[in-house]
Amino acid sequence: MNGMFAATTFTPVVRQSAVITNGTVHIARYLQVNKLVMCAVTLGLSSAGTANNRIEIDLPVTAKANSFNVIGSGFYFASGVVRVLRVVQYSTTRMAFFGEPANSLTAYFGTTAGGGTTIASGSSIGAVVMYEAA
Amino acid sequence: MPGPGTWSAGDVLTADDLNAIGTWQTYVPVLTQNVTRTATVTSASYCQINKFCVVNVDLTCTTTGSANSISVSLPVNTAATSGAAVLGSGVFFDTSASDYILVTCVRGSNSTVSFYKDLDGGLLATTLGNGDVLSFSLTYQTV
Repeated sequence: MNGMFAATTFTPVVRQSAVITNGTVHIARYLQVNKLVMCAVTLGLSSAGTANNRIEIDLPVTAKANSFNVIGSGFYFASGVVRVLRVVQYSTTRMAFFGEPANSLTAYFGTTAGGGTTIASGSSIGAVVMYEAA
Repeated sequence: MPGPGTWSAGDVLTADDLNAIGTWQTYVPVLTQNVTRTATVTSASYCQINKFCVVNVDLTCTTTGSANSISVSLPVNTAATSGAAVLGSGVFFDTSASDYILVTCVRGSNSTVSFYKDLDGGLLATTLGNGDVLSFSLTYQTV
């Protein structure tokens, strides 16, 4: 019982097609109580992404299969501009992001339809999510 | 036996009692804009531990509403707050405009969540259309 609400540190994996090199990891922790997972991650990014691809972060714990579902909120910061985002469960192992503008259910942040942001070295990203574990 | 917060001195907790902590339940959220609006619930689940509650919902409206504030029922009533307490965040997809809107989820009543969008003068009151999507994640204290 003592470990029930203890947070565990993990190594975040950010992707935009390719895996992005982590810079400073400000926080990457999750706590799991049975099937409830709460996760907070914020880190700097030290390499560039591949244009017109979803920006994703690996979930620390495999999620129950689900379709598009908002599981939290987040941000992306580059060149002095903050993008406020919503985090969706993209698959059982990945979270993805939605921002404005987006014109369809597949217009994920990072794709051309989702604003066309390409991860730049020196940028940063963060998310807080809560979801059901598999 | 009901979960944490309901136990009393002398109760004998079983493995089932403890294993039930942190499990998720599904529920059927009710979408309202003036009156109940039909919706396809893609997913709607919540996890309650004592008075801590996490809710994740994704639904698609299947009818046309009329301009007024939009609300969705909660699985467990919220504790009373003063004002429109923020419960979480989400997105609203306006099908007719082909536009995703980021929304902030606020307590509409003790049993409903309502929504704010950026630069609006009040609660989200876009006329619901067939195919509009509401997807959100909440964390709040139950009653």
